[in-house]
Amino acid sequence: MRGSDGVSPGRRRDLLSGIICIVVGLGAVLEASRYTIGSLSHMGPGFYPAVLGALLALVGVMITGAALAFAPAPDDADPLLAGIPALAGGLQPPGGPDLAGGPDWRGWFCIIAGGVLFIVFASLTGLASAIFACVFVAALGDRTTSLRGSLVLALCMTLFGTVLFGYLLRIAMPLWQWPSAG
Amino acid sequence: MSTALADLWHGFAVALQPANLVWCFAGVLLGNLVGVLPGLGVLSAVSILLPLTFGMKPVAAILMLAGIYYGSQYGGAICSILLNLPCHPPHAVTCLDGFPLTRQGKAGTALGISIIAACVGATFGITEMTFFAPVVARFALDFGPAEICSLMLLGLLAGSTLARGSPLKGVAMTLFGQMLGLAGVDMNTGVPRFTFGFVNLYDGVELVALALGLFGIAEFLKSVNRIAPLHLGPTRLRLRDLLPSRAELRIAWLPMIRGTLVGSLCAMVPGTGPTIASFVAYAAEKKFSRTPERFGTGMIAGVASPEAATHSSIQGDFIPTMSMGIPGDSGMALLLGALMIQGITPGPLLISEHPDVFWGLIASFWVGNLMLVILNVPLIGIWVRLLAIPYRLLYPSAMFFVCIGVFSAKNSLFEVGETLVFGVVGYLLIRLRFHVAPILLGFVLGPRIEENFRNALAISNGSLGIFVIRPISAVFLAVCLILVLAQIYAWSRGGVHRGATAGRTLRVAGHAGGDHGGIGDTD
Repeated sequence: MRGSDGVSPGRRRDLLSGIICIVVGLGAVLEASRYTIGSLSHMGPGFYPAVLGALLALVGVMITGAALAFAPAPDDADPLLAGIPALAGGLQPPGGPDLAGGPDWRGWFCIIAGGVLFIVFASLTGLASAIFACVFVAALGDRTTSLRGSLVLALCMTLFGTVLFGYLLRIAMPLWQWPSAG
Repeated sequence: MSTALADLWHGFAVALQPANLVWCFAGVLLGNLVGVLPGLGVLSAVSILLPLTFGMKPVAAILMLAGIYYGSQYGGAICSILLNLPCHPPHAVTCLDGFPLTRQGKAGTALGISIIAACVGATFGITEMTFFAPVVARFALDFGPAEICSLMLLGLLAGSTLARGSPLKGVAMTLFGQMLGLAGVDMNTGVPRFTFGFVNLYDGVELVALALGLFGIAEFLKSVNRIAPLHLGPTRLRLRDLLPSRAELRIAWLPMIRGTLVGSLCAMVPGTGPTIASFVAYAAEKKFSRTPERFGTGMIAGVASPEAATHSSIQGDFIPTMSMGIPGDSGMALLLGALMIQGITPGPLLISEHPDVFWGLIASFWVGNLMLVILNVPLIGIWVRLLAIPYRLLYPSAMFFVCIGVFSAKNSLFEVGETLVFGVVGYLLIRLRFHVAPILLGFVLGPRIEENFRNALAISNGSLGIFVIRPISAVFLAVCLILVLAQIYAWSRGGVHRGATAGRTLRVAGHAGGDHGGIGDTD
């Protein structure tokens, strides 16, 4: 990513970071003001949250200010690890270092959908179906995985999961139930 | 001194009970396994396996979780040495000389040296803890709310600024973490705070949900489709390759000792975990060497010293955690959270109130490290093959573990949703180059800071002077001030290049490498 996109994405990122901190901080102060603030000697429940919120907003202002006043470092990911040449090529597939790569909607969608489906199926039809749905859909997020590959993985994990969690660890979720019960 | 040994004897009696022995073994084995796997960090490992310990007795649970924590470090070096991939930050620096050794056909030697160095470092760290932690705890017994509050502030500040990434963003993350920690019904007044109408949030954000969101789901979102499958060369390792020759040991032993000392020093400074320790050790070794120019070409000292430093720092990090209840980094925060789930209040009283936990833990360190050394020799061939497990199989399997684990924390699906939300938030923060680990530190310490802050000011009738009048508290605050001033100084000197101060001074090689993978980027 070095050199190809100049410094402006770094600055934009820092500006956005700072603004998010300010918004969250002020939001916390606002929320805390709905509880009793109290005084230093008799602190109400809102006191410390308000302090935290104010500090976060302050830090946000500093991050924003620094982003406006100085050019961000071209590579501020991690100076500690930046010294290691192996990292340049390292784990990422060529052309797509981890954070600089474009959005990966398929991967993101499938992972989140896997989690959501776990909740849905766990409350409707129980553990086995929840594991299957979760693993099957999450696995589809990888671009190199085939439908059949996900299916096999999901079946294996369902078997493994039901034995481990259903029979051995006996978690408090029925292995299978008919949806009408939920 | 003799009492410490007698207590340690008692600890061995606890750790060697068959059940505890089995859990300790399970912990180090699972930790070692996960430590090898690329794409899963130490914190993911501890958080994913945390729910398994809910049904256990406190001693067994903490032995196992600690075992996962230090066990995973034994696996981390393998990836660096054989593949030149810094899968785990503390072992990143081992690549520099470990991989050249592999190229010369001496992979076995490098791995053997790393295991021996680990053992030396850990031994020193554990000995230090045995004698040092009770002393620290006795000292900390006199702390009132003001001292505890200042000390925690110091811990948070050091943890967020000395670690990696931008110090300001680190502070922002600890503040955010503290807010999350305050969510739920306020203990003193019964007012629900930051619950936004969710009754499920009344008893607070679930630690497991937060940890698995930040270190599980967020990591998956970050790594999916971005980790290329590894193609292992024909690396065949025989057992006798692991045994270094006498000449190699003679070269390695001094660097190991220096590395160990560096590691234990770094463990004393809150916030400087094993990653920084290993980098300092490498840099120091280069300074000490008569042939600094040969570093990077396969020097044995370049493997021995950082590996020893990592392990001695890992063990040393347990000292403030167990003796004062102040976690030095997010891994320790997680273990502390696990202790609290078990109903044990961390703090200076822990050693006297729960001697089984404390001394059993120390004894289990000895047992566990011994197991790891013995395990790694025959299993290293299997570990190497595990490196080739593709991520596309790994993360969906980890996904359902995460979901079930969070569910079993409270037997409720609400927490699973909470985890997904934290996962998305965590990933957004990672993309904005925040380090999410300090969130956990803030989360664990936040409520305790508030309580002590409240008590201190109730005692002083609302006068903030109490924090500077009491001498010990004043010292802690002075150190905080020095930390802040040092950051400002380093920042103004560094000009446009902002970043971790430690990072700049420790920059090992002249190469300005590209962006890093940050796999298992967790401390």
